[in-house]
Parts: sequence; structure tokens; C-alpha cells
Amino acid sequence: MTTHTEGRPPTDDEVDRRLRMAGARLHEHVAADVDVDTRLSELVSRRARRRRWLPIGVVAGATLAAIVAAMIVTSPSPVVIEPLPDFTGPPQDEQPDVGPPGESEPSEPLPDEVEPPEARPDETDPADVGDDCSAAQLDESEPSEGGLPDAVEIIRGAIVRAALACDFEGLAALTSDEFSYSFGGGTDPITHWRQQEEAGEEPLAVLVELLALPVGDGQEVPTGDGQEASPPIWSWPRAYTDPTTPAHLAELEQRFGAEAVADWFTPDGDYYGPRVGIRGDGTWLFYVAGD
Amino acid sequence: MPPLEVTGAEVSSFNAFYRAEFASIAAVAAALCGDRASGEDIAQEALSRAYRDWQRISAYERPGAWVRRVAINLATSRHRRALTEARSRWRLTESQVVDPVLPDAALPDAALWRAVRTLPRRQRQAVALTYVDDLALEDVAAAMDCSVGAVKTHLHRARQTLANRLASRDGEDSR
Repeated sequence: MTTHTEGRPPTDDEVDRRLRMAGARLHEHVAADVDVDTRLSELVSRRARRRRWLPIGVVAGATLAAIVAAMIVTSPSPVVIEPLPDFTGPPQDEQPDVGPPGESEPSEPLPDEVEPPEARPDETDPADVGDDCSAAQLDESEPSEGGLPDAVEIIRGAIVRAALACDFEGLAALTSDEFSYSFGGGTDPITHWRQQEEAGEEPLAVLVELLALPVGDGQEVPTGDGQEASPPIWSWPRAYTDPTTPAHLAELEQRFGAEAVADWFTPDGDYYGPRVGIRGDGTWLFYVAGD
Repeated sequence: MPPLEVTGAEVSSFNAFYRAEFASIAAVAAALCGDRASGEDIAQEALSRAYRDWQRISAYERPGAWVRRVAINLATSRHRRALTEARSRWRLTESQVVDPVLPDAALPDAALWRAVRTLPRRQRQAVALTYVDDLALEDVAAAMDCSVGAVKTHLHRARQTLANRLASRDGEDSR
């Protein structure tokens, strides 16, 4: 059905009316077929199953701890003790005090280790992060171009491997004192990335995808008179530092989709989407987005 | 650690919230995914995350905005994953990347919502929250974590783009 005069684009009001009618129809269509009570029962019983498994997880953790302690006492040689899995989640005072709007969502109180497989019909749901992360399903790919200084290539590879392993602590260990992950400041990238992952954003997947793209030209860092010149900074994607070309756009759109990429450029064509920077000496300087 | 037990009063409060919000959130997510079943799954997941910390979430001024923000992020995440899968297929077949969204032909106005899904992310979120959820601008802004002015800008640009796309599509249909 067309509601405008043929041959000219509909006016703003016409599009508004058309969207309003279509929105109402879609809402009605979904609402008519939804069995809300059944869905609610599913949700409540799923959560109840998770709660029932918590004591088992705690007991398992305590048992494991006892076994390790016994090994320490009886072992004739030094034993390397790996940290025990955290079965109970972080203490309350480490939970970020978040709230809407714009705050991230709370961490999962019950980790996946204590969840019986049959109790997780949506286990493969990509949005259900748990101890997993968005990069877990990606493959490691070689950088599109060589020519990086060794120090940069080493840290690039280490970042990719840590992200693919969902090793938040390992990632944070690769950052430097100069590292920036948010324009709001902050010194806890782990919490920041975890919160983003739990809110359905995909910082680790995006990080891996960015570092698989061609790198921009190394940018010289301006220094004052008499100071030793710093090594250049290598940045991904190259659209951040180099004049944007159709090829730059195409490689971003193929990775992230045209819709997302359209949000990452100013009307003047400046890139301000997610980007990574590593200094020529191997110092990881930033992984930020926005302006 | 976060509270694990939900009191009787909180259960009642959550149940009322769930019944009031589920269909709206599912419809918004369906518009963003192009698929009603995915929309329902996303609504369920977003509300599940609210349930597990309901004592805190319910104290917010706009718990509905919190859940919607989680839902639209989940919808974006699902879209991104579909793109990744489409890219993998493309690598295998060396053919053109197909539309990663498999539109549900049973959705009313499927072609219009397909056009909406080609908009930039923030624009399509603003459209879905405004026109499917019928939220006030202030509530859309709260769900999107931006200003009312930014929502207006997103909506204006979205309507401009849609006007041109609908004109060309309607022109093709009439030929």
C-alpha cells in the first residue's frame, strides 16, 4: 500500500504515519501469539534450576580445595597451584553499582561451571556470555599485511590470542600504564570489558576483528624540542589514521556490516569507531571507541 | 555476591513487570531481527537478566529502559553474529554475501522492516522503540542512553532515508 503521490518520495509526515501503523501492526501481531504465562514459567523454573545447583558447585569447589590442600601437605616436591575457579562470583563490594540509563548489566551470580548441561536449553545463545565471551567463536587469522615491527607484531598476536581465549586478565596484563580504554578514564579495563560483554556488546570479538584488518601507516608522535623521538603508533583500522578510501570502507563493512560502520564516521568522514593503537616499541596504548 | 533469593513480594512485582513488558520488548526485538521467534528469545533473555537481580533493577526509576537497553544490544549482537556466519559461508562458496537476516515473511509489513534494518544501528533502534514500542521520546532516550535531541536526530535521518528507499521501491512495484 502506498500512501503518497506516485513519483515523489513520501513526506516526513507520511513516513511517520506509515511507520506508526506498521509498528502498531507488528506489536499486535507479536502480542497476539505470545503465551506470556508459559514464558514466565519457563524463566522462573530455569532460574530455580540454577539456584538448586549452586550448593553442589560450592561443595565441589570446597572439595577441590581440600584435595589441593592435601596435595600440598603430602607432595615431596613443590606444587604449582593454579587459582581455583570462582564458584560464587565476586563479592558484593566488587560489584559495580550500576543503574539505568546507560549502565551495564549485572554480572551472572551463578557461573556456568555449576550448571548441568540439560538445564541450559539456550547454552549456545551467543548473548549468554557467562564465563565465555564474544571472541570465543572466532578463528585466529593472520594480519592482512606484514611489515609490522617485531615488537608490534608480538603484542598484536598476544592480544588476539588472549581475546580468543576470553582471558580478560591476560588482556589487561598486556596493557601499559598509558593504556586508554574509555574516554571517561578508569583503571579497570577488565570490569569495563566484562560489563560490555554482558550488556550484549562484543568488545573482545571486535578487538580480534580489528586486529585482523590492514594496519594504518605508523603515525609519528609529535615531540617537543630536544626530546628523543618516540616510535610511531600503529593503529587499526587504517581508516582511523589514513585518508578513507572505498577499500577501507569495504574491509570494515565486510567485517562489521554497513549498518554499524555507518555509525563510525562523522559527517565529515572522520573515523571514530573502535580502534586499537600499539606503539612501535610494543606498548599497547589504546582500545577505544567514540570521540 | 548478588542476591540469589527473591522474596514473595519481589516475585509478584517481577511477574507484573514481565507480563506488562514482554510483548513490547519481543516486538521491538522482532523488528530489529526480522524474526518473531528471535524477538521472543531476546525478550526472554533480557527479562531473565532483570530477574536475577530484580531487587536492584526494580529500584531504578525506569527498569523498563534498562531491560530494553539489554534487549537492543542483544539484537545487535545477534545481527553481528549472523553477519559473521554469512561471511563464513561467503568464504566457503566464494559467492556474494547474502542478507544475513532471514526475514520472517509472516511478519506484517516485512518489506518495510527490512528497509528499517538497513538503517544505521542507532537509527533503527530509535525507530523500533518509537514506532513499535510506542514510547515517548524521553523513554526512548533512556533506553538508548542518549539525549532526547539525539533521538529526534536519529528519527529524522531514519525517516529521510526510508522516504527515498520507499519511493524507489514503490516505483518499482508500480511498474
